[in-house]
Amino acid sequence: MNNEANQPAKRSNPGGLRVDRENRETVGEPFIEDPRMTCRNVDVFYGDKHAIINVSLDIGKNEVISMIGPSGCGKSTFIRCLNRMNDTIDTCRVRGQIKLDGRDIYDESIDVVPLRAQVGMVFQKPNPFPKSIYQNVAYGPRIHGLAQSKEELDEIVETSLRKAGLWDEVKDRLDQPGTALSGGQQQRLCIARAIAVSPEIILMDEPCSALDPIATARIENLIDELRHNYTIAIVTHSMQQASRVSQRTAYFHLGDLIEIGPTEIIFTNPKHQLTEDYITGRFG
Amino acid sequence: MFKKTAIVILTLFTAVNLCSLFAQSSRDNINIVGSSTVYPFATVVAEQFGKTTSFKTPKIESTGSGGGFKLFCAGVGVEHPDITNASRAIKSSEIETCAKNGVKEIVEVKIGYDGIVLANSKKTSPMRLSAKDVFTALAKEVPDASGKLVPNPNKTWRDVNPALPNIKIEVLGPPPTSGTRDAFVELAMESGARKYQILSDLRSKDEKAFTAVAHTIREDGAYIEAGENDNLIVQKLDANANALGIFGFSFLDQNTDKIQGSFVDGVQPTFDAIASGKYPVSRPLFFYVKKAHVNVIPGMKEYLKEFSSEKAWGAEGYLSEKGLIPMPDQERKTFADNVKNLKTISR
Amino acid sequence: MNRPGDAPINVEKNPARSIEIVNRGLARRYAAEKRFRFYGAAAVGISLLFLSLLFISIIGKGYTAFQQTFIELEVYFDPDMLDETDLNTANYPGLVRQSLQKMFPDVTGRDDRRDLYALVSTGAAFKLRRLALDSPEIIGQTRSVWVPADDDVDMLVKGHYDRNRSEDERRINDRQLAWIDSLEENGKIKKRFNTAFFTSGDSREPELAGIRGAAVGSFYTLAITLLLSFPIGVAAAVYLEEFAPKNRWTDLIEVNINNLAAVPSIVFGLLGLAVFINFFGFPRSVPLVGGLVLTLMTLPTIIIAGRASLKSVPPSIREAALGIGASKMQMVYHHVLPLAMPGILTGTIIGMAQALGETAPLLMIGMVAFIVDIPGGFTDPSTVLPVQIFLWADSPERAFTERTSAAIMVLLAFLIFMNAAAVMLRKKFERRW
Repeated sequence: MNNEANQPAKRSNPGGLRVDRENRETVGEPFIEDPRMTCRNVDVFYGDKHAIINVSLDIGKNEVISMIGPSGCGKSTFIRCLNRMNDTIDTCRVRGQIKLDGRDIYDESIDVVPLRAQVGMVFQKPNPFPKSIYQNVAYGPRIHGLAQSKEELDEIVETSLRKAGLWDEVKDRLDQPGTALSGGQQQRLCIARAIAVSPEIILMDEPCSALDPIATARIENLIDELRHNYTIAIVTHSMQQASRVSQRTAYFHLGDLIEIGPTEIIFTNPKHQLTEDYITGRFG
Repeated sequence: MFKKTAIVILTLFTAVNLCSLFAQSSRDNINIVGSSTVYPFATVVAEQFGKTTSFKTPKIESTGSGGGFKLFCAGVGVEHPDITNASRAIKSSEIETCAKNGVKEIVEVKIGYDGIVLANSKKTSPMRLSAKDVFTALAKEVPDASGKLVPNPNKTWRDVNPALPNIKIEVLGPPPTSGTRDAFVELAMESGARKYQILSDLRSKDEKAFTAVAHTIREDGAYIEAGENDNLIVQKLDANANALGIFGFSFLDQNTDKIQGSFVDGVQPTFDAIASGKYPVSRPLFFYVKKAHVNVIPGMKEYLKEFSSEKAWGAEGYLSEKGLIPMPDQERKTFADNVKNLKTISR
Repeated sequence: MNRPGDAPINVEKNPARSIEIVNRGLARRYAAEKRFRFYGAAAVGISLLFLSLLFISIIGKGYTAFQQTFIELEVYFDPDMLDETDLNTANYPGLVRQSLQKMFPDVTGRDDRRDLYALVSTGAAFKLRRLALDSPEIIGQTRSVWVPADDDVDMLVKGHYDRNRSEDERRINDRQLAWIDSLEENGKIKKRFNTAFFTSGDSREPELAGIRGAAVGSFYTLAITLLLSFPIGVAAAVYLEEFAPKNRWTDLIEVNINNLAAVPSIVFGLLGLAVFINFFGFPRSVPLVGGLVLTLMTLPTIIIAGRASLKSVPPSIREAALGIGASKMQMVYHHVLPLAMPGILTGTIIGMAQALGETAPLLMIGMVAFIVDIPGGFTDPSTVLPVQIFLWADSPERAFTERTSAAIMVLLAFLIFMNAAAVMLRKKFERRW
């Protein structure tokens, strides 16, 4: 257990990129007061591969937490544990404890369907359904039975699209296929689709990596607005993005959570050598 | 969607089961199986019967004589055929199988004769063969000058008989599963083999050994198995003037502009020659009736009457137009009486 | 630079020289590409050549079958010969003979008359019978009726028989030839569209034989096949691809399914004989059993095609559905299956086309049979199109040759239609994600 929150000094890393697994302790402030989600000693295995090693952290209310790190560090794997998307991978095993509002989401009594309604997800590549824009947004509310009438459904679709900042662009062509939109619009459509089921937490797995800078900027603004109503965990490759949108940042390295803390501290004054190497562009 | 599929499947299976119940409790059409040689004749009768009476047209499957007996002898009841056609007489072993399965009363009806012809293209002159030539040309093993059995050395017809033309032996014929082949081997090859003194002696000593020699056709490429489709053989003969083909008389009858029958022992296969019994390679054709079905399946009696009427199998009946060689008057009368009285085979 | 000793070093170091090497190899590379293109084009060309040869030979042989020679008879529906109480079994062949006799009054002698009567088909009597039964008031009247000519006359009129051969070498003798010529002069013999070919069942008389019975039989058989194999195949594919755990058992099942797709179709016929006919006691020769057997044969095709097209649905769509809380079932039936449907349908149509052309398994369950009556249901004895082709190809009458080719044309038309539908479906519903 590494529940000592504060590590006083920067650690040296004599083995270069290697992490001393035996004695590794997360640097920074993994835990906060009054968290929405708590993760304790999470291990993830793909078959024999140990992809996430003993990660513990909290996710707070109405905050944006970003996960950064070099490719293959396990940040996407970790975020997918938070709404059990990893269940779809046969060889994937998750160990440890992940709680949402005090309930273990990996408990046998938990049904993944309402969990995923509560913890929505936006993916790296925009993946609208090959159906109309309206159907894309309406699908979630419809299967969960959130709307009693057609009018109610229309309203949910409109508010979701408004929240995603897409309404003005598509209000006249709701019956056109979602796949015909531009990349950035598609990603906002996917966000609208996630919002439509009124989740409490939205997980975003590199939502801007397939978009151009203008579309990226729009999504970043959107994330900032959404923060007031939702808790957002975002995985990103772009450190600028992390620093722009998030309040807290976690740095992953080869399956280890190396350092976590307020974003400005991580980017201005990292405590761990690996974090510093990464954010100064020495590798990654 | 899944539910719907399940319902569809369920209803379908129920329907299927109901259908089969209905189908099996009774049957209103005659089921006929058996020889492919008799098939062209039986079908004509069946069609005539179906179109001129109020009964349904009988269903006729071409299963081969052996396959026909197998189905026919499987038992009594609507799921088993009523009649089987055969290009040979029923064997005693088949009668036993029948009896074991409850088919005790069988009526045998001879319908006429079929000639098996050796034919070649009209572009050359007809071959004049003897049964002995046929055996010498086509057997796998033939006696050499000293009387010892050797693998067939003959490459050309002249090797077989100096009077024959100097062309390669190339004979297109049916495969071993065919009734035509059985008959050909029995009628032509065997009588040819008997012309050899040494084989004739063998026959009186050891019939099995004799049959093995006489019935085995060479496999070195001179005899080409051309499949059951006789039309194909006719086409190939038309294309290759040196080849000879073996098939039933009706195919020669329909293709007289393309092919001609070879003389066997001095007789050419013509309608008259076969009918009078002069042409040596001819065989009787039969059908067998399950007596227990006669009063159960509607139309059985009428079908039998149609088949045994003069306008069908008579000397000038419509079957003769299709190439069936009618029986002599007296024989026809005997079998017509048998049909009328449903005279069963006595074991 | 000109010194010989320098040269090898400069080859290594001079960039201009490596361009030369590239250029030198270029010709060879382009030649290889050209050769490959030529092989490809040649392969396509050869297959097109064979295809056109097939079409030319079939159409060339078969197109005449769509016409049929008819002879016009002046028929006096003689009340003496037609007993009104028993119109069913009256002597209609006698009427035909009477009419022919009237047209050629100078024909006497038994053999001559036989030859004369042989000019018209036995179908003529059936036609008169139908006329009399449909409207009994024509009894006592004289009507001119076009009746089908005998198949030999048909062959002669269509030019398949050479009239210059000597008399004993053709099936039409000199007397008959003269009669036909005189009929032709008087316009009493004519080629007309062969409707019987499309409206009647099988017959032993080529001029009366049609493919309707076989086509209807094919329809019933394929209906059963489609009704069973599509839902079962899709359900199996969905289960195996989306729900079944991946373990040794499912691997074994997959190997077996792939294996079944390659098993000779006759094996399915034997299986059908053993299970459906001998065990369940279904009747022989019926579309129901044929459909069941072809279902067994088609299932692997549909399952394999289904699994392949389910697999080709991108995982992002699955994640999208799961990500907003769809259950696995909803994910499959709302998103994955609709997207995979064009592929599944293509596989199904190809499977059905295969089933349509199949004869071997039907041999074992008695569908290779002479059946005249047009089947009226799933449990009526029937045959199917390819079996009809097989049976006609084996018939001795010359006129069946062209009918065989014509039936092949009909079957090919069906197959082309089905495969075109498969291509259209794929084109229409192809998705871009």
